[in-house]
Amino acid sequence: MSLIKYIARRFIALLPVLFGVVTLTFFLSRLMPGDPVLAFLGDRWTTEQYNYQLHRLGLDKPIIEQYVIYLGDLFTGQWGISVSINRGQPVWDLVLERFTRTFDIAILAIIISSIVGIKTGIISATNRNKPKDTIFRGMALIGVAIPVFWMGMILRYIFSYLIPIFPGLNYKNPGIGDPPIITHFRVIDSILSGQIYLIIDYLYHLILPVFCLSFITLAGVVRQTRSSMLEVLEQDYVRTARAKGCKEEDVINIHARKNAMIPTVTVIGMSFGYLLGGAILTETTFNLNGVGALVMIAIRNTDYWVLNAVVFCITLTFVMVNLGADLIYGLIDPRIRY
Amino acid sequence: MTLTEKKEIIEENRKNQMKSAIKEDSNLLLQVKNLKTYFYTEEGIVKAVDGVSFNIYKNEVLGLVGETGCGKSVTALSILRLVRSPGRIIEGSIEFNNINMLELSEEEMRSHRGNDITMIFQDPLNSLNPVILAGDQVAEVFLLHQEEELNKILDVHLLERDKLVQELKELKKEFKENKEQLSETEKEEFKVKIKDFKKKIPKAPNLKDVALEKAEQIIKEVGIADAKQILKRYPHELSGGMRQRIMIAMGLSCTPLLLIADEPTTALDVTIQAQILDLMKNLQKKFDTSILMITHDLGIIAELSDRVAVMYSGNIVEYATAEDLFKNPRHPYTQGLIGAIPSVEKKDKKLTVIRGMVPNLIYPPSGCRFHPRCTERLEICDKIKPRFLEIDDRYFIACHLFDPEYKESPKYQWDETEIKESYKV
Repeated sequence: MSLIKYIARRFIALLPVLFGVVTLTFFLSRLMPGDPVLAFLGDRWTTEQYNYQLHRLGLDKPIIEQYVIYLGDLFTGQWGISVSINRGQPVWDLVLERFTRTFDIAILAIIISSIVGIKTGIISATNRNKPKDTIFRGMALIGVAIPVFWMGMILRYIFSYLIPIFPGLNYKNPGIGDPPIITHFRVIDSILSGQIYLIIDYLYHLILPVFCLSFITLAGVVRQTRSSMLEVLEQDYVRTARAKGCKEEDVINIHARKNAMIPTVTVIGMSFGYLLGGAILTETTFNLNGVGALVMIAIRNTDYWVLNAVVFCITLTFVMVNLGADLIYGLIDPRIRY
Repeated sequence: MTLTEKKEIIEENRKNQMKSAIKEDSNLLLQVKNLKTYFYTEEGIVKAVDGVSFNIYKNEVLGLVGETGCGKSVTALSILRLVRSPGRIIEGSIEFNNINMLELSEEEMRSHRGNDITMIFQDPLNSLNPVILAGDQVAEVFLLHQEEELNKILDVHLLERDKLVQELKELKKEFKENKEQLSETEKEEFKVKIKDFKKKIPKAPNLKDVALEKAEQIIKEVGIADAKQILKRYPHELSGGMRQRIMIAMGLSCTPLLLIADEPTTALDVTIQAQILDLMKNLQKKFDTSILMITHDLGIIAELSDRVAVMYSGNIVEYATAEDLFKNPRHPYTQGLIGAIPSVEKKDKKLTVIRGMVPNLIYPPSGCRFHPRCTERLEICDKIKPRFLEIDDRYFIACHLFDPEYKESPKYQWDETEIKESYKV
């Protein structure tokens, strides 16, 4: 019961954040140089056509009115019509189709980097200053120092050109087809329509991008786990566990790990923001046709509708992941009660 | 009384003495000999424990007193071999029940820890794991060291349950056989009966449930009334006194031979302190446990201990029965410590002060480590390390003042400015 209350309270606390982001992106995007009507009309147009489109897009209204309409539309899913990409397609469909892909690689990357990072961090901490520790930390450092797009290119060169074991481009085999669109999430849609081979093909294509992307957060997770583990291992209760006669592995897995996880979870939640930024670069490198390319075109063409929708989706994801982190935090640490 | 009679009496006395000496030996539980534990830090070697020897006998409380940082805790941790890197035990022997602990493998050592040697720590809040239920933490000790016993209890529980299950089966069988002959209302009654019976059968217990049962018992033992509730609490939901009781419960759960209590009352307020000490006293008698009581509170030592070892800067400087030591302290350091206890009788007098500071353990003073602070200092004191001598029956002291070899050594003349300097903090 208290858990539900806590979730509800956290959820309400998120609303001002979302509202702030929505407001800010709305007004900031209006400050961009350029004219979406011109982007829509192309080279040849008349004043009549211009005024007609201006009216149709609702840009002739006062900005505050536009803002209020925008807020209303946001909740009803009427995110407008794209003026730049696939001209005339509803932004909702366009963004969702692309964004789910970005979302998939970001979530997969954060899961993988969390699992691998925590494991590595613990090994590093328990072998402090020994060769294993040095190697792991060195690798993590290299991982964070290499820019993602460059790493993506190197990975493609090695694993899909020199040793062609993974596909280096695109998110599906050409001609394999798509599942019927139900939720826009390719994995879920494939399951719903029973086309399991599509999932396998999809995940197979995502291996390299996810691997590349997970390096962004991996180093942070390893470092945080290592340092908090080292701190916890010096605590009195770990000494108590040893004095009880616990095996060293139990000392680490039962008594120390849970305590060391508390700061690590926060770091994972916060670094998800970086990861979303990296995802946009990575999907461009691997030509995944995600939200990154969309955003670039939208900016170039002052496509307010697409831009705002993408920023909204990214913010929502980030905020939800952090809400998840908070919940996990509460599960780990009994001192945090809702 | 004739001469022969006298001789006989003397002879008998001697025999008795011999007997008691032998008895004492067989009562020996822990013998620490010349223990040296050093910490290899980047600044240098910290000689935290530098040649410490003492014995603990069965059912005895040994008090280990000394200032902060004199190596009391490190001595205790050395006994359990829990000194963490960069610390290392470099010399000496620790014999527990005639087993040299320093030669055991880590696996063998683990079977002693928490089983026949246990330890209670200073700060009960930090000594309990904040994310694990109190009950689970106590139960863990049983799971670690008493698996066989737990299995036996578990078997009994399971047998009882099997009996009930069997009865239920028979009841069902009876119902099936008589189904046709029974009327509707009788059938309903029968069904209700079966249902009630089903409710009676407990869930199949596992090893952890049994361990928790035992944990509940031991928690009751340490004076917590609603033990069942406490099992499901996290440490932060308990008061300081309760936490320390849980720690004691954990320490006593396997009825250890030796309980090491490292300043068990330091973090508690005075009333709780008294309660905890009372509890320890009672439990010590009940469980026949020896206690190594580490503290800097002389009051606690006087109340609890049979024997006292006074530690200064990594060495034991005086080691005697509590009675002797408090009545007639001989080492200048002990005299200083006891003189510094405020009391109603001394209300018009100034308290004595041991001037100066605890020495740096990386570069300890030469000779006797106490010499820069000693008022009775001899010329020899900074040159030769005092021997650990038995000057009276079971009265050990490490001080040149009591060493016959240095009787001739002249007293050191303190410089006025030197004294003034050393009073500064």
